[in-house]
Amino acid sequence: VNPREPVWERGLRVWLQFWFDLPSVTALAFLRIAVGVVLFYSLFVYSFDLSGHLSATGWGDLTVLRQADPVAWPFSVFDWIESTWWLWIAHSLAMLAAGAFALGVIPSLTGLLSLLFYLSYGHRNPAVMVDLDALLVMLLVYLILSPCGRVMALVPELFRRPRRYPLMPPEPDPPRPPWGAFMIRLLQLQLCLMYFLSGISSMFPEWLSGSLLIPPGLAERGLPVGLEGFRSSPTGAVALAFALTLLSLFYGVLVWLPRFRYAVLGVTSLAHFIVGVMWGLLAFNMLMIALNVVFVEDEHLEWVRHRVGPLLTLPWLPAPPHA
Amino acid sequence: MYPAPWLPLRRLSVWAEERAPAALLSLKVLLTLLAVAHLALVFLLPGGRNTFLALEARDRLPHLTFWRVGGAFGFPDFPRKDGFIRYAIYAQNGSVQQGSFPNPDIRPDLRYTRWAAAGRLVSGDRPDMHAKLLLYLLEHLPSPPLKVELFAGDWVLEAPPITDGAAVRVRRLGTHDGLSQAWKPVSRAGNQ
Repeated sequence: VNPREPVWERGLRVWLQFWFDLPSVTALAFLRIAVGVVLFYSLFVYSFDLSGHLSATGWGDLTVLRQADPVAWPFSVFDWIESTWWLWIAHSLAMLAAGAFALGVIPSLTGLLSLLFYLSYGHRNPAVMVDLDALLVMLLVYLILSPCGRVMALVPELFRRPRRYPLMPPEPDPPRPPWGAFMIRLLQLQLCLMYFLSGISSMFPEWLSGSLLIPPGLAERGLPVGLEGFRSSPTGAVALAFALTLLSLFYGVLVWLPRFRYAVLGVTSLAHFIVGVMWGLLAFNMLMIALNVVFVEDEHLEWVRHRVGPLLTLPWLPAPPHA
Repeated sequence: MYPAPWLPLRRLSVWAEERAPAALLSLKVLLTLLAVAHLALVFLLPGGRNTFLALEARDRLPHLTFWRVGGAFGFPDFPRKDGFIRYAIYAQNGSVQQGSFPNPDIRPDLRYTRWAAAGRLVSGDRPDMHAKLLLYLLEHLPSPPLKVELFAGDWVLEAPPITDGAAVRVRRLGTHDGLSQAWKPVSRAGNQ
């Protein structure tokens, strides 16, 4: 630190360091794979009810449904489609784009395509939008603008000279552009805001009493798993409701303290896993666990990548030339 | 050879080179300020609506990077009641087929969650949607029925739900007559 440095210059330097000096593209790559896989799964689940939800002969009048949740620009590629056959073609293309995004094939382009397709589903029939969709759209927007395909991406690894197996750790390390750091900071701050908003919105007696842990009608499906345990011990439900609220409220503070960071990430991931399995909200909570990766130190993610990467190589390919 | 001798290219390039670091710095600062403004907007209007400050945006669908206030753990927006549709189909052979919309046996869970969101909307006071749903049901029947009755149901939390479970309230929405092919909705006054 230069003691003669003016305060405003030091402030500016620290401010810009905070936003741009976080050299990591690995977290973005992990997040890209998670978002791509969940997006693909969500589209796969759409396949069961494609014409029911999206075609003109579906269960709802699409014009009326759109009025139920108006948006400023309700574009949808499905508006150009009349027949069920073309609906399936467009749906297959959307799944293809999602798969390519997960594999890291030109993620800025395949991510943008995935975003346009996914918004098209929501705009065509907003009545079947769920929280998972909002989270997926948000993460897609961030990832499209970030260098999320620098590592663990299929195409750059295949075209590298000398040729290497897909998903193997590249050598030398890829460049780490400053806008990647900027995106990670944005994701970190937005994640903290999400938890905090969720925490303050759940601070009311009904939630804290554990009553709303079982949404009406959910028991009809046998959810949550272990419901009988809650019925025999309502104290457990109260404890869980309080724990989730406290975790949401204080996550945004504790996760920035290096001493508590991994403890908070561990507890949060465990809570997401339990809620996901017990309440049947696995896709959403898995995505939230993946989003927490943005707080993991880059060197630890690199350690995982260099060990997991070789395990994911395709054994039927010939040996790489430099091996 | 200069393509356009009147252009002071050398002076311009020197000027640009001298100012590039400052321009880059300004861009970076501007970008961070935009990010702060964006996050402030997310904080004030999550999902286009702030229930605490009574603010609401025109665009209500959670868009791009806005997050709806709800459970970060995936719980829905704490509904006190959960709507669904029940139907009874009287077939020509005398059998009665009953079911609900959404069907609770649907798997996987994400698929049910989408249908549940649809059922919540349709079970409201939306006669136009009830008629369209009836058409959808009729299209998926193997043979024309004698009669179809639609009901809207609500799972309602009654304290304490954890020990006693939820109660169900059902009201009739209307009847489809297979002979006249007419849908007769129940008027709202006699709907209870």
